[in-house]
Amino acid sequence: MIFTKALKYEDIKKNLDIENDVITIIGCETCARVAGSGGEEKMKVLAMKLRSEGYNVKDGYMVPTVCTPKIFFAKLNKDVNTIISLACSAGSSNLERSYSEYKIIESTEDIGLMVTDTDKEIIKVTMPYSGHKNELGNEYDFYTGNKRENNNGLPIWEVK
Amino acid sequence: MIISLRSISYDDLKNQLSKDDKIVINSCNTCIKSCGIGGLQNMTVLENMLLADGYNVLGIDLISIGCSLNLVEYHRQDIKKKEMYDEATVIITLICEDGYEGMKYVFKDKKVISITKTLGTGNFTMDRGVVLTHPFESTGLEKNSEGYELDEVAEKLGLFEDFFDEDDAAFKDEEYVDIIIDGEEVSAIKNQNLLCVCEENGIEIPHLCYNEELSEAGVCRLCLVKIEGRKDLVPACCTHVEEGMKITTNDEQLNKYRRIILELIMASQNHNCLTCSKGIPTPLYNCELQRLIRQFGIEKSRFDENNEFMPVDNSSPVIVHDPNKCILCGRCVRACEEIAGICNIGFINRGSETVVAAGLNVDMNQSDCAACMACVNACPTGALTEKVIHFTGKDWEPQKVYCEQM
Repeated sequence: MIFTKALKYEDIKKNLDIENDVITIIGCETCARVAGSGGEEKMKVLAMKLRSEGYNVKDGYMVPTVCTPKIFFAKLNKDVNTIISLACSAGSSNLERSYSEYKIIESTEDIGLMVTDTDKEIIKVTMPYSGHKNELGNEYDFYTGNKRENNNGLPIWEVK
Repeated sequence: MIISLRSISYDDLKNQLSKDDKIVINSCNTCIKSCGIGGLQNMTVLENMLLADGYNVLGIDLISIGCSLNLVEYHRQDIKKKEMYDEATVIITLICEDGYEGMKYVFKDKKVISITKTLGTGNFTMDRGVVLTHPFESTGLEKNSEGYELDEVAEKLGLFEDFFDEDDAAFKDEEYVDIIIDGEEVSAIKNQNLLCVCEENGIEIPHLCYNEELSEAGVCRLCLVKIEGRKDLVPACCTHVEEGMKITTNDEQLNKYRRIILELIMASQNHNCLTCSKGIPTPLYNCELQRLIRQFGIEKSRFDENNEFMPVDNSSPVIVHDPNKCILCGRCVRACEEIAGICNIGFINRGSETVVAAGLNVDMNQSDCAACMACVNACPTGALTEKVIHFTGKDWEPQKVYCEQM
């Protein structure tokens, strides 16, 4: 799975035009939700915050995976001209290609690949992207993306 | 999705094996399958190649999400697979490098061989297949939203664009039998599944409970066929071919029975394709029940429809469970046990009260569901579907797309 962290609110907002952008948010219910950078609650928080500051956030969609053609289940409102992607970069590039006439704004940053334990609800970063090499082996909690104090919840490299 | 390519040749793989090894091949059924180097079909190809070359392959195992360590552990401890895994000395795993790290941990007492190189992340596209959009720095490729096609990447990086070629292995000496299907002589591998033999020979037999990734169940009875010398009709999905079999797959009596079964299924619950995402065939989804109903030209069931409405379970963030569209084929139950390795969903109650339920008949989000989608991918109707939610209005109210209010 792909581990992402949410961008700062200000970094998302600076790419938006409060006068002209009519916004929909498309979120991924798979990796981004598990990593705590996406999911329904995060989408609502982002939408409400933007609305409270006067941005025209029309609506939002949660689809199972944004990196596949399933994004076409989102039937965009005809007034919308901007999509905020609440997905990993693979999902965002899928949106860029599939909705090429829209402005696409990313709201997460890829950290790397992760393994998980769905019982313990732990994420472990196994293959970080360049720029995040210090994340190798770091562990996070499911759904919140909160860093765990110790990285021994999934001791996969003890055998090495 | 995570993008990987095959990194070793068949000879490279064999160089890591000895004839004394006891081999299990397992595969993740998610990204690596889309990349064309994982999944049941490729595991079977590799198993046949290794067997043909004299290696001792104990079995194969499909895992819904290989980067979830607990799911891999469940597979290892599964009562039906434990003996196989315990006996194995080598695991050949068709999985990305990310999942490989977990696989080595779960099978730390064994030699674990990977055949892949993971390149970064990307998408599945309808026109170009899988593309790599965000490569790892080690590939030397730049980020590209249009995406690199996998054959292009393979050539640039000296990797292999597809799975092992069966021609690289010795000829597998199979025992063949001659059978007659609907008056035509057919040659088939001894003990091969009759339904598969028919499909391979262009003979379509209606079926709902059979899925090639799952064990045989024979519960829907749609694939009943006649076999000369047998007293009663037999389900093709649970019949293995033997020399001299004479099979009738299509006649007036069989089609009459199939029509009755389909009408009974239609009457058993509310199968309204107008409010179901699987009712509209797309490259991603199609409802197998609706397809058969159209194929048989059924417009209405002659039986009284069961109007009892059961609550729809919307509790999972990714799955909608609508028992009103369930035909009790059991594919989800088998998928949860055999591919997910969890046994989280099963049948409850008896007779006409039988339904599929999660855990001890709790909402999906209160159960052990790992959201691996094995059940959704296995479901032939709209009973288990992926959840798509549209949020709108002043208070950001959720509404399911293609379905009723939440």
